[in-house]
Amino acid sequence: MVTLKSQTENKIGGLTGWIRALMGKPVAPVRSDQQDKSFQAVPEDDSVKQDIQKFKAFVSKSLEKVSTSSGPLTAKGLATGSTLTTSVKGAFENKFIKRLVRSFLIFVFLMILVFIGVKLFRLLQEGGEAIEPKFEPTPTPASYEPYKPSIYAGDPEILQLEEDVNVLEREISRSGLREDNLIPPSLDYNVSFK
Amino acid sequence: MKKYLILPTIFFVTLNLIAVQQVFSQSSEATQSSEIKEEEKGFDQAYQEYILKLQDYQKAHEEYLLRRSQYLRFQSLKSRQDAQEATLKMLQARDDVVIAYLSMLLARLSEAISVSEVRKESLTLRVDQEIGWFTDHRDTLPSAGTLDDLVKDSDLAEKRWEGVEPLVYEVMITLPYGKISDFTQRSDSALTAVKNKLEIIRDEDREGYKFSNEKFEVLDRWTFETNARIVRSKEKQVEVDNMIVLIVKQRKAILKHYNDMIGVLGESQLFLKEANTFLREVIREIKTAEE
Repeated sequence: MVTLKSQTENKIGGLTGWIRALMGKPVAPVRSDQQDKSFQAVPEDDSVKQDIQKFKAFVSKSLEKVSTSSGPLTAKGLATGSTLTTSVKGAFENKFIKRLVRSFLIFVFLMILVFIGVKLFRLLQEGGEAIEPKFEPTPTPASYEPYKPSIYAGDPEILQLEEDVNVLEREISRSGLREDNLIPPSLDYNVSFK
Repeated sequence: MKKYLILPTIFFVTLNLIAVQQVFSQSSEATQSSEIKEEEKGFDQAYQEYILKLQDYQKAHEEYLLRRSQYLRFQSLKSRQDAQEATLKMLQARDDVVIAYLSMLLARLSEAISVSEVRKESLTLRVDQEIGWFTDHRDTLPSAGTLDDLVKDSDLAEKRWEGVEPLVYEVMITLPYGKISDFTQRSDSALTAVKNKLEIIRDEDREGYKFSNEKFEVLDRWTFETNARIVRSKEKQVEVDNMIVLIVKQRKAILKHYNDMIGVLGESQLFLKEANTFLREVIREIKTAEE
């Protein structure tokens, strides 16, 4: 029975080996008599060989079984495939189905064209700009006030007066009284040499 | 093929003949617009010249300060000569700035609206006199023999400038005063037109064209309020008129006085704005039928 201590000593090479490993130097070669002892203690090579042989036998057996069971089924499948292709070929040879397929394809193509046309038309209507979602506060609609126009609502004199007053009010609101660019310059008049 | 080309060509030629509005260079409209452009160009040009002169003055002033400090430090003949040259240049540049500034004011005054011709002419004459004085002063500066002569010349210009400042602020207040006068006149004429229209409506006998007494009471109240605001605005303008007379006496606190005048004109402007709001209310009331 080999103890744990002796095993680690064998692997690392004892205390000196451990120190050498710490210093980054290669472990000192183990003596040949020690190597022979460990080789005789664990005969690993034979067991692996046996396992490989067992696995090979199992694979060959299972392959034989699969080939015997699937033989008739594959033959059947090939037969059905060939019947399908022949039926499809026959269908394509038929003129009516040919026309049907052709008209269906033309219809799909036309639908795509119409869809693109509608999309383009809408895009042009919106001034060529894509609509971007705006997250702006929308004003609440003003409450409807019953407004009954008088006979003078469309009177040209009144309309002209209204326009004049609106223009004047806008001008009064916007006009500034102060003209900063006219402010006199600050010049140095304090000239003396004393 | 030719037929297809000829037809669109005829169409476009006809379209162009219809659409193009002819403008003759000798027409009154063209002359008026060119005059306005010239006036605008006149003010813009004057302003640009003033800015350039101001930049030249700043450079000359920096040079003057340097030479002056060198002269005060070394008291040498060379430093004295350099100081004299730098002072002369600075004084000439300063006079140039004043001349350019006054010319710019004149250009602005010439395009001012609603300023009476008498007032405009009087101001122009006074500003022209000042421009003449500063031009003479600038031209006589090179004859100064010593630094003391230059100092005396500078003192003369200083005294003159003190007298020019009230005139400058008078011109500056005349411009907004003209604007407010224009707004007052237009508000007055709008009120008169509305009153005339109300009188026509009052005289109506046809059904659907006349208003009830209650409606006229409302309309009269609005017109009365409008008139009251215009009267108040005019009172404020009279106040500014009196302040302009006092501007000559305000030598030290002239900027404060100018700000006060602008404040009063602002009040006048506010009254006019209210008057126009009331006028709009009168028009809205006329356009609305009775219940």
